Amino acid sequence: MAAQRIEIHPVTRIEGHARITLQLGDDGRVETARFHVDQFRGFEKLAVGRPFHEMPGLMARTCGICPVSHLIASSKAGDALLAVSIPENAVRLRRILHLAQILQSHALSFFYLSAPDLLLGMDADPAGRNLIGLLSAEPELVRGGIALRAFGQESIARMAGKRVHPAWVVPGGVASPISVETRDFLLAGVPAALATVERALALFRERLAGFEDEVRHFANFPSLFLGLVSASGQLEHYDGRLRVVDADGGSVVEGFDPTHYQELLAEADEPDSYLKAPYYRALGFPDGIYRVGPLARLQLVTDCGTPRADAALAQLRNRDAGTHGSSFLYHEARLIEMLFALERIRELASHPGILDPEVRAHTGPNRREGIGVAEAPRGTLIHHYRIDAHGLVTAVNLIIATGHNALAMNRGVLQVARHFVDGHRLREGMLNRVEAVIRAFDPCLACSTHALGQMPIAVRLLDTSGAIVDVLRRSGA
Amino acid sequence: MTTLWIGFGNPLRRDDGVGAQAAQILAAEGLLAKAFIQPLPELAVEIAAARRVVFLDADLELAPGVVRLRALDPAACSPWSHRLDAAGLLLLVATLDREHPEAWLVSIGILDVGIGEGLSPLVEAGLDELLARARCFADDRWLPSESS
Repeated sequence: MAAQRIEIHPVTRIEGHARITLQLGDDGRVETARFHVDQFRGFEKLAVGRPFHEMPGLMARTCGICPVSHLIASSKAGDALLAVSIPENAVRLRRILHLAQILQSHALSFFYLSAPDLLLGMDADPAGRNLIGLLSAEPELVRGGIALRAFGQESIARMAGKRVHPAWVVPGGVASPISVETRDFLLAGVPAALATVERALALFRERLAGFEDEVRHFANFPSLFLGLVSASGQLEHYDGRLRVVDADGGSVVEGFDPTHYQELLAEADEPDSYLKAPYYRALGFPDGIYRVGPLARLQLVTDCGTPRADAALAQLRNRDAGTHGSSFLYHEARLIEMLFALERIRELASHPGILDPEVRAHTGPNRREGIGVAEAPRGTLIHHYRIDAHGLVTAVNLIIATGHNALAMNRGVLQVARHFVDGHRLREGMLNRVEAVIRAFDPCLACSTHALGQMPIAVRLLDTSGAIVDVLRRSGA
Repeated sequence: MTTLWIGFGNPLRRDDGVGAQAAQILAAEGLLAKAFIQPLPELAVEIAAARRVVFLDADLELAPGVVRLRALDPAACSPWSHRLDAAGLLLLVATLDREHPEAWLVSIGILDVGIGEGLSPLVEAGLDELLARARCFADDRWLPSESS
């Protein structure tokens, strides 16, 4: 059989626009597979020249799914520029807001985007393999999932003014304290949300035996894992130090100050994608592959620090010897993080100081460089700004959670394609698995393509039969 | 009868924001109207609680400024996996609750979806008719027939 190329375009049920290409050899087996992110944003350049205090609101516009994470990381960079320690209650409120966003983002990923594959099956009829089809099969689960995401979104709206692109978090703290009604709303919503997540987790585990092949081959390879952990080594999304472990959980880097990230990480560009490809500097490119996000975070921590999440984590660890590095388990990790988020929201909202009115430190810029780091739903998020004497931004570097996973997603696509795709006898379910490994990472592509003027580009001229006639390349600057 | 107006659109993409802008005007008049950038599955909960829902949205297929009114039937909607529109949202409600509110879509043709604020002149001129069609549903004594 002649060599052929398969293109999956668009990759569905992910955040953003991308395609996957598979190159088959003469024997019909997959030789290469690539994940291409075609969209481009350019926020790193757009922000230059803006006053630094505008940055959180501007950066929140980067994404409609995780604007709060950008708001948090950007405001932390702003705190550094102000050189202030923000009020204690501002930290509590930022944490709650961020956890509410992790909740809604994870709910979106699990219930809306991936549950049709997980609960209806990878080979189910694609006409019914969607939320509507899932609703017919698991009505209570979907109803709960919709309510869960609505709770996360509404929590953000009540605290920060609107559910998408709020600008309530500011350098120095937050813009205003919350009301009694908002606190009571947060507390009242937790029990039902917890019940929904626990039901979903039980169902996921019940069905997991049917996905043994996927668990073994969905981006299941040795890699480093990177993320923030608390001072005591527990799950942390707002602050903390960077930790890196190897595939066996062995310590590689401990207690690393995240504001020194450039000593730890370097960034590469790839010729066929706008997605940045960061790597662990000590191992070079591409050997310095690592993973971030929910699964990585659970690899890094001693425990979560809340009872229900810890019980769920213990079950994951007891069960998954040998497959604990499978990216298929990102789904389960997301559910465990949702338990954690809900338990932590309840804990923080119950704090006696949660209504304190002192929530913002006021001052002008006192430093020329600021770095803010947080754990976004999809992994470690880094905002790095430089400003001039007038407080105007002169340089921006963003390393986005999805970008950290670029190398791992590409390797995962290749692993899945080689295992499941048979060029002699293509079936839709094969290609769905190639898409599904990307869904496991829950990439947020709108967030993660920001380098401008550095991107190597290859333009291919094809004849009418699709054969490449000429290639024009521009090297990265 | 409880009527809920839902306007969709991105006000930072010129004419695309006309549905959301219309909903904001209706809300300022005291009607139960809400504006969103795009349809969200979570809206199914609010829609299911209404007796009638009126969606307001831009339509690139219509001539700029032309307003069209049509009843929505979830049975005519295909299930979706990667995108969602007003009819799909109604299908979600119907699947969730086995029934759905009476639903109408008031759409307006648009021209310019470039980056920026404000409506192009033809769409600005059509906004009044869009609002007039939408306001008809506030009064149960007279209901519009499907038209374009």
